[in-house]
Amino acid sequence: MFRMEECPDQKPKIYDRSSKIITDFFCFEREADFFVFSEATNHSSTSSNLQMSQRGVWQLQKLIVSYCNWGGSSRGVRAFMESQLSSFKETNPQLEVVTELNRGQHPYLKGLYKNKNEQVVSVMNMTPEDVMLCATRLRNSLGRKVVKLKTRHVTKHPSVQGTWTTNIQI
Amino acid sequence: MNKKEVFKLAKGFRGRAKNCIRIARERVEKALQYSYRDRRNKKRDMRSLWIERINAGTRIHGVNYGNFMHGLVKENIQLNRKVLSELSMHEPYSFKALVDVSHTAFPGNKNMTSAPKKEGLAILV
Repeated sequence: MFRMEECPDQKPKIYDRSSKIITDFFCFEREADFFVFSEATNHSSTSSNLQMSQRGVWQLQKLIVSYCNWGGSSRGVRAFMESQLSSFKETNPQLEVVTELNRGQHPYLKGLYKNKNEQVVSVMNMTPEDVMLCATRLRNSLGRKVVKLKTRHVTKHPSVQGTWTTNIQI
Repeated sequence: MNKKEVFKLAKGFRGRAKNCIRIARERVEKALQYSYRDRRNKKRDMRSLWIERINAGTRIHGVNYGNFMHGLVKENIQLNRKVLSELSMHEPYSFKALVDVSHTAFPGNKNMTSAPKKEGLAILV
């Protein structure tokens, strides 16, 4: 069985649930975050709120904002960089945010996580608010792949008394 | 754009059903119907799987599924079949305790054949 652990001091931001895309991703994130394994212990810990970091440690190390200064698909990202990027940096001092000029290509956000996983999200033709949402999602998630969980319970030790075999004498 | 969605759903299908729109459309429709039906069937299948497992677990101790469940009901033990099947797989001693509880509450109408005894070389297995 798994124990619940309280979410550390950084409270997760409440998303606007009116957009369907956000809700879907929200659900995935929730499932992926829901049962979290740390290498040290065998118990998974979740909180009654959503868990955004693993045991009080933010998982996103670096965020790369790649944009083009000529293309029209980057307009939103450029506006985001002028207006909201600095506030995003201030609210997340642990995060290393880099802007990268990539001329002639569509813009994307690349997140590099502690489990050496990188998550690339295309922000082509998105409004600055949407880009902010994407960046926040990347910051909140663990680096896990977004897959549907096969079983509801995830455990390294399914048995306390020892799984039944034909050799057991009771 | 509907074609694009159809082909997206037709990934992994056999032969022309994943490449040719006319065939893919039919198979995708059928696949969606099957998945609708099977979401309901899955619940039934899982329950029967649990019951099979509980049956196997109890027969080791000489009790059959029906008598076992009746005994549990009499003792007001409200564990469901899912949990019971997990116990029978992974916690054999706890499960034996449950079987004993049920057996004292309801020994059964007929004399159940006792747990199969191993003779000869089968003892080694």
